[in-house]
Amino acid sequence: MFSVPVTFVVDFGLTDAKTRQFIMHEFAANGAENLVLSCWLVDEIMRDYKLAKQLQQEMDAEGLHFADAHAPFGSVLDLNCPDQDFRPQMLLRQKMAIRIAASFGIRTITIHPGSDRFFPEIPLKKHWDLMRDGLDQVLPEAESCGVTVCIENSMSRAACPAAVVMLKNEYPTDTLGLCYDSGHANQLVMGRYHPEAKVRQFWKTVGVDEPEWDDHILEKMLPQAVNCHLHDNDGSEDSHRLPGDGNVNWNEVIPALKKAPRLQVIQCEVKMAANHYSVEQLCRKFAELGEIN
Amino acid sequence: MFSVPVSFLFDFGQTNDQTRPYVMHEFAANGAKHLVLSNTLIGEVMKDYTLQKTLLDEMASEGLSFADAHATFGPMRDLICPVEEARPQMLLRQKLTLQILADMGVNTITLHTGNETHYPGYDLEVMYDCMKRSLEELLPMAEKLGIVICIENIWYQINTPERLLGIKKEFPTDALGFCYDSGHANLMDKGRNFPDSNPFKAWKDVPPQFDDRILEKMLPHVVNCHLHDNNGIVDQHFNPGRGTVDWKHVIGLLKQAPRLQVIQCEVIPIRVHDSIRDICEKFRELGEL
Repeated sequence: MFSVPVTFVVDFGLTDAKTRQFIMHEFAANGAENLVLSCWLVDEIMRDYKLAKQLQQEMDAEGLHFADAHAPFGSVLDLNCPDQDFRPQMLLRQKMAIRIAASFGIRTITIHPGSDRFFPEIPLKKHWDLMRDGLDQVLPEAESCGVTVCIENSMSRAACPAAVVMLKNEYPTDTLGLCYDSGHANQLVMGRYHPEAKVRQFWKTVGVDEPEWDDHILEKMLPQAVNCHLHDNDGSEDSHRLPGDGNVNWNEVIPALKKAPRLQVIQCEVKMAANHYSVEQLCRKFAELGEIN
Repeated sequence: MFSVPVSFLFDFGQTNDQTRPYVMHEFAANGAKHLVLSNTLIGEVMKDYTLQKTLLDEMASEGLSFADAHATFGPMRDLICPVEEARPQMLLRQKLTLQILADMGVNTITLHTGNETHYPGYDLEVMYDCMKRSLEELLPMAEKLGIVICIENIWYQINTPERLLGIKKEFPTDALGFCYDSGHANLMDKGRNFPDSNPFKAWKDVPPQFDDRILEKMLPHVVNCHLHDNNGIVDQHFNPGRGTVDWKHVIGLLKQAPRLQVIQCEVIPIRVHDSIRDICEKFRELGEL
């Protein structure tokens, strides 16, 4: 069993209100207690303020809680957004996401620092400077509402595990933590055995022939891991499959995570709809993971 | 003819990605040049930033542009919001709105002060102070972005012309102006003849401050206006001529407003079943008054 809440992400972006309530009920019926305030839900609340109250009522009706959140992400929405015209809007959006999470009583939100593959013409150090500037701007907002911002390891060079650890070390505040993503980490381990691995393409895009393979990602991130995104793959792509349906070594990951001193939540980031998994499979698998010591 | 752009509101909440361009086309075919970046559209852009470019492209392909905007409004989203825990999100939402406007090239937006009845238990003066606090935070950003924030007369105690003028006196910056709403003004004038009118309901035990000189009072600071008609009882948002607004009087005065940047048609076409053709034709006629 895990000592911290287990939370499940749902592809709510693909559902209407009735289906959303049905899925919440399904999770509750399978013993889940927490869901993720996903980027899709945050987007919907940005569109319609009133949805926040409605969601809270729907969750309450099923005895569910939002235990953590994920900010909108991708390209110019990430902290390294190099588009100076759009950057002020990006920063306001991230601050809004933090405030929306706080309004649900959520204490941790994952924000993507960004990928250099979208903007390969920009030097690596510039990407990191942009990420630092982004953190400078959003951390005070997070601090003022008691939310921990977690930056997540990605497969890209600019936000590889070593990079997010480096950034975290520059910000000693507890308002910044890390989100360990098992699927992203696995691609920087097992991707080396796949000549066509997506991670190779990401690094090639920025002019690096061979990614920096890393067998010690979790150990590096563990002291500052506040959240984690658990899902599986075979190293070739970010397929967000059920643990066990790839080659992540869960017998190493779970015991290590159980020792993470700052860990607040275990997040299942399996993509249900895309991979055709049932709620029952997700809940059962994560109950099994909790028994690994 | 009006010397400033005329912009048209549409209830885009009733449209989808296919019907939205169709509506734009219909406005263009009827001679419209400008539409309102409505609270609904801003909400959709907040949800999906890529829509910002899509909308601009759709408008450009019809020869249309957004001439003005309306911010999201309602409980916990208006300037007077006195609920301290809700204020940071409200202010961020309004700031994000201003930024979206700037990114879309729109330079005037109407913000609701709010209605005091949304916050039972709070003193009117506390809410009035909250309005000032909100503007203290939003106006510097508006100034920086070159946007004029317009506050609007409604039919509540907190948004009478006197209240708005009191606020304007405290913020002499050009980044703050007024939006004169003809329908709301009509309720605060003709509503006196109807015990069931919106003002009587809104003011509850306090006699409403009915006023037949609202536009005269607001005129020096009017930057935008919401033109629509009603029967003096409820806020119907009808096409001009379907209600009791004295249009000759309103248009005559508006044409003298020294700061006026845009004439906004705030008829809500689908809701009130007024055709785009009739609305465009009516605003051409108003321009000739």
